[in-house]
Parts: sequence; C-alpha cells; structure tokens
Amino acid sequence: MRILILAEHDGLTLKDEFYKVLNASMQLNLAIDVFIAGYQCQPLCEMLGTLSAVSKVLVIDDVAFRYQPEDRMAKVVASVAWEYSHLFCSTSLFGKTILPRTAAHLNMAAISGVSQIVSMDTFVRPIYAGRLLSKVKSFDSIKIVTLMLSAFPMPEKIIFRPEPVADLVHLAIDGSQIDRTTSFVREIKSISKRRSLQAAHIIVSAGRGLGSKENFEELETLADKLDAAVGATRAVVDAGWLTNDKQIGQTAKIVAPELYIALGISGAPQHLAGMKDSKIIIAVNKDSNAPIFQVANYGFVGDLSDVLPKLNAML
Amino acid sequence: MKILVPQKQVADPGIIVSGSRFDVNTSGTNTVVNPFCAIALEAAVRLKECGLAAEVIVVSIGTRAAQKFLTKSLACGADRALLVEVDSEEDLIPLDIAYALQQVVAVEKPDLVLMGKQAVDFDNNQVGQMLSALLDWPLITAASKIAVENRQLTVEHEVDDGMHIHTFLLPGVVTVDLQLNEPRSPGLAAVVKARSKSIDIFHCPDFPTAKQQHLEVIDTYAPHRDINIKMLDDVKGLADAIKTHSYRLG
Repeated sequence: MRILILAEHDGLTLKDEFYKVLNASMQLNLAIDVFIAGYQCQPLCEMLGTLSAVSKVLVIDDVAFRYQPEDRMAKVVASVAWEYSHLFCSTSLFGKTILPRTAAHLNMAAISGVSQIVSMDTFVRPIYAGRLLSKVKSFDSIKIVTLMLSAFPMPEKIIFRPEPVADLVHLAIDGSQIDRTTSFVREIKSISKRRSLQAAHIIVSAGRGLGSKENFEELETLADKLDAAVGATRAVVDAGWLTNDKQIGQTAKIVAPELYIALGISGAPQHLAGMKDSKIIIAVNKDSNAPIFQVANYGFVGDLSDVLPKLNAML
Repeated sequence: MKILVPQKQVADPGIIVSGSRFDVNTSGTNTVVNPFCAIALEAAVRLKECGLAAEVIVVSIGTRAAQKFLTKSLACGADRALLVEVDSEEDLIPLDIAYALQQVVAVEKPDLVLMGKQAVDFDNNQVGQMLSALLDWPLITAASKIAVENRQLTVEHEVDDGMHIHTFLLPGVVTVDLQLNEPRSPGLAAVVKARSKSIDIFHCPDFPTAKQQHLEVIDTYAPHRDINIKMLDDVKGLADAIKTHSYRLG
C-alpha cells in the first residue's frame, strides 16, 4: 500500500496546505509519493525530493499544466492513481475540485472534508454544518480523501535531506489529455496585508452586530494589534463590508485558529460550523442569549461601540 | 440554450438533528430545497427571462415525495421537471447522483448544467466535479456571476484568495455559490398553475452503489466540546483574556 499526495504550490514554493497533508499522511505509516504538475518546476521537484518523508516524485512539467487546470489534472492523476491505496489532498479549492473529478474517472467514491483519519480505510467527517460527525469506511481500492485544513496541524519540523533522495519520474502527456477546457481571463485578487485565514493563529471576526463603520475601524485596529487575520459572517460579506473570501462558515472557509475573537456574531449554525473547533473562542455580543456563547470559552455581553474603543486602549 | 438544473431536498438547516449509530435522525424536521439548488434555478430562470435560454429543466433524484418540491421549481419558472425515482435516498453517494445526472444529460442533451456547489446536509461538494468528469465537460465551481454570449460562458467565481474569471464554450457544468443571486418566492398564481403540470419519471438503470459497495457509514455522533464558558464582568477582563491567549503567539 502506498499514498499519493497532490502537491499544492504556486510555481515557486510548496504551500502550507501540502505540508499539512504530508504531516497527516504520516499517521498511516505507509510509503508516500508526491504528484506535482506545473511548468518549469524543476526546483520544486528537487525540493520535494529532499523531503525525508517522500519516496518518489511524479512530475508533469509542461506549459499546459502551468496553472494546473483541474480537468487535465484529474485525468492525469487518475491514470497514475491505480498503483496507490490512498490519494490525498487538502480541502483547498485545488483539492476540492480535482479529487472528486479524479474519483469519478476511477469510478470510485471521494470522501471530502475529513477531520480525522481513524485507520487505513476509515475516516471521520462533519455533516449537517458540523452538528454531527460521520464515521465512514471505504471499500474502494483507492481511498480518495480531502483533508480539512483546519483539522490537521502544520508539522512541528520538516526534515530535509541534503540531497534529493526520492526517485523522480517524469510522466508523459497523452495528447488526448490536452483538450477543450476553460480559459483563464483574469483574477480579482483580494488585497490584504494580513495573514490568510487558514494560516493565522488569531482571527478577529466581524458579525452583523458590529453595526457601524467606526466599529469596523476599531476591529481593524484590534486585528493590527494582535497581528490577526480578519474574518466575517455571511451577513457581513453580503453587506459588502468584507470580500467573499473572508467568509467563515459551513459553505465558506472552515478555520480552527488558536484564538478566535467573535465580535457581534450571534452564532448561527452555519457560522459555527466554520469556527467552533478553534482552540479558544472569545465572544462579544449585546444579546446574552446569543448561541455563540454556547461554544465560547469566554463571553462578554456589551455594546461593541462602547467596548471596542476601551478594549483597544487597554491592549 | 437548454439548461438542466438539479434540485436536492434537504432537512431544514435551521433544525437541530441528532445522530445514532446507523443514521441521522431527521424525523420531525421539515424538508426544504437545498439553498444552493434554489440559487441555481433562479440563475437559469433569469437567463431564460433575458432570452439567453430557451428551456429550463429541473431534475431530482429521490422518492415520490420529491415531486412536491419539483412542483415548486416549476412555479419558480422551470419549464419541465424530471424525477429519477429511487426507493430510498439514504444510501446514495455523490457518485450515484453524478451517474444519474449523466444519464439524464445523455437523453435531454442540455447545453449547460447549472447546479448548487454543495448540499447543506452532507456538505460533500462533489457532484458537479464528478459529473463534469463523467461527461468530459468543462467545469467552473462556486460561480458568483455568469454572462452568456452566443455559446460562450464567462463566469466570475470564488477562489481561496479572491475571485477568478474563466470562460468556456458550451456545453459545460457550472456550480453556484451564495453570492450569485437571491431566489424568488413564487406567487400563488404560479404555484396553482404549476400544480397542473406533470412531472416526468426518468428511469435510471443500476447506480454505481447497486453494483458494489463504495462507502459505509459506520457511526454518526455529535461532536464533543467540553466548555464551561467564563462570562467576563468588564472590558478589562476581556482584555486580560485576549492577552493571556495571544501573548505567546507571533
């Protein structure tokens, strides 16, 4: 039995998402190979080759794979996956899109958003906005799984060898794999000086109860002081106060930072699904019955217009 | 352009459900249309109202009980409704749904499959991806804006750190996200009129899980979070709590 992990990278470096999945995969004590696709990615292949946890690197280096189009990726991965017992990636957009597509090519199930690896064939994943956990056993010859980024930690240390040790295998591209696909037009990047929600140790999160522009500015000041990322509920994103990629929730980003500060958030199940596994939750809301207080470690009932300026002055 | 819009029914997301060793207990909950499916239908109907689509067909995979939701979809503007009838929805996995939709596409030959990105009961977010693989069609997920010109679709969609715009030539699959639109509630006249329309039953031969078992749910349970909340008395207490839990971090 062997594990195949899809490498997540931006052309220059391997992403945190990849290291989390690699770290999680080591629980199974199986040989681990990595599949990487890109363009002019030799340095990344060498980097992968030096990771002590990696046995073999499968690479496609071609201009057609520069942006790793998910339809082509799925076909190529499906063609090499047969030798593996497990195919892992994270719940990033990359993993969420490619793995189910690969599974369908293989006529197998995919298990999405796993929060716990129980054994070789058994995994736990949240359902019903995380109100329930489902323990699932797979009978497929390849367990195709996306691992929830918020449930698996970064490795404490990453061990490299001085020289690449892993075998490097270049995969040939079959002409039929290059076919009609989507074309990229442009990106609208969310400009933020802050850490990303998945990487941040502290998140300060805005709910509708924040109410005013002044309170928003105080929230930004608080986030600056704590070097925190800023997140939001759906209501805040719908109102246009923050961009979509800041939304935390069941169908948006699921996070579990060391500290989650919920400001003016009532705690609807859809939002809780996105943050209730945070290590420490501190909630401020003017309604003492707000459901957020059922998952918080610390709570304060008060008006944010009053609380935030005073809080910022004390920190 | 002919648009196929899958519709799933889910237990009302506002209701608490409990679990047991074998199954999720949804008795006593209401069934509603999956919010993302409603958004997909709204998008399809708006394209028809703009003259960019000629026909909108909705399809559900479920028991006969799904018919009343399909009637509502007709009231919201769909032209025809199909039911892929099954004895029980419980053991169906996304691969089965994708397979059934592939069979429907083979018969109905739509130009576009417009569907929700995930169902809010099992949160899989897989069917759109699987269907596009089975059809070998282009796919764009989590769409928040769709524009159509001739046979070219231009879609703005969510990515992890912002938005991307992609384009493709039909046919293809697009899954939708929350920001795309706000679904309408049909008026009473539309509801009454829809009741007189029939729902076609679509027969689908063996589902993938009928041939072999892929997955088995061996337990369903509530997560455990053991917390006794400490309510703070003043802003200073709040500041102290924040300092305690952040001082050692970067």
